[in-house]
Amino acid sequence: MSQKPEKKFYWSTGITRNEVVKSLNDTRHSALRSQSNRRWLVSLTAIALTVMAFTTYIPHTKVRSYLDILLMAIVLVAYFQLRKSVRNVADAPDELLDERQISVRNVGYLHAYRYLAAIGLLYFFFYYFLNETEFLKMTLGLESSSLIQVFFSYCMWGACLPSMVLAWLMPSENQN
Amino acid sequence: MLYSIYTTIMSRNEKIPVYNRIAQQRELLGMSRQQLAELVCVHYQTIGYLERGEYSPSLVLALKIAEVLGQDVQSLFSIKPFPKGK
Repeated sequence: MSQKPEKKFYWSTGITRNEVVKSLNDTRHSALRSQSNRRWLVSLTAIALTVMAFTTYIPHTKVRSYLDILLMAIVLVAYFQLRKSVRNVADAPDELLDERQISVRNVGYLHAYRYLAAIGLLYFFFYYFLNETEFLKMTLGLESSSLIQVFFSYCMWGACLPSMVLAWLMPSENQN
Repeated sequence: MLYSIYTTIMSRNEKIPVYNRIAQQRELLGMSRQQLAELVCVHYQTIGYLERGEYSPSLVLALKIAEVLGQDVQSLFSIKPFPKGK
C-alpha cells in the first residue's frame, strides 16, 4: 500500500491531511474542548450570520459598512475556531477518521443539510416573496446590490453548519 | 431532540445496548487505551466510548478488538449484561 503524501490538500473541504492528523492527536488543554464553550461559539456564529443577512436594513451607509466588515471578521474567525473545536472531524475525509468519527460526521452533515435548506427557504421567503409586495418594498427598500451580504451569509452558513452541529452535539472532552 | 438522534446513531440501536468487557480485558493485559486504539486502528477516544457503552462497534471492529485482546467476540460483547465479578 502506498503512503499518502503528508501535505495532501482536500479541496472539497479546504483542509490538509496534516491539519486533521495533528488536530486528532492533540492532547493539549483547550477551552474549545468543553461543550458549554463550544455552544457559546456556535451561538455567536449563528447570531453573526443572521445579523449579516439583515444589515441591509441599516439606513446609515457608514455604520452598515463597518458592521459588515466586523461581522465578516467575526464569522471567519468563528469558522476556523469551530473547525478546531471539533478536531476537524466535520471536514475530514473518511480515510483519516475511524468508524465512530465517520458516523458522527455523517450525523453532522445530515442535520446541517436540513438546517441549510430551512435557512435558504427563510432567506428566499424574506427577500424575494415578501419584498415583492408593494407595502414591504416601500418599508424595507431593498436594493439588489445588498443581496451580496445575504449571499455571503448563506455561503458561510453552508461552510459553518457541519462544524456547528457537531460542536453543539459533542460532549465535553474531559468527560471522555 | 438533536442529542437523542446523535446518541441513537452512536449506539446504532438505542433499544438494544451492547455490553462489553473491553476495559477489564485491556487492564488484564496491562494495555492502555492508546495502545489498544493503535492496534485496532481507531482514535483513542473511540476506545473510551466503546468501554463506556456509548458506542456500539461494527462487526469488523469488534472482531479486531477480540483478536487483539485474545478473546472470542461472544466473551467480549453481549446484548445481555455480563454477570458481575466474571
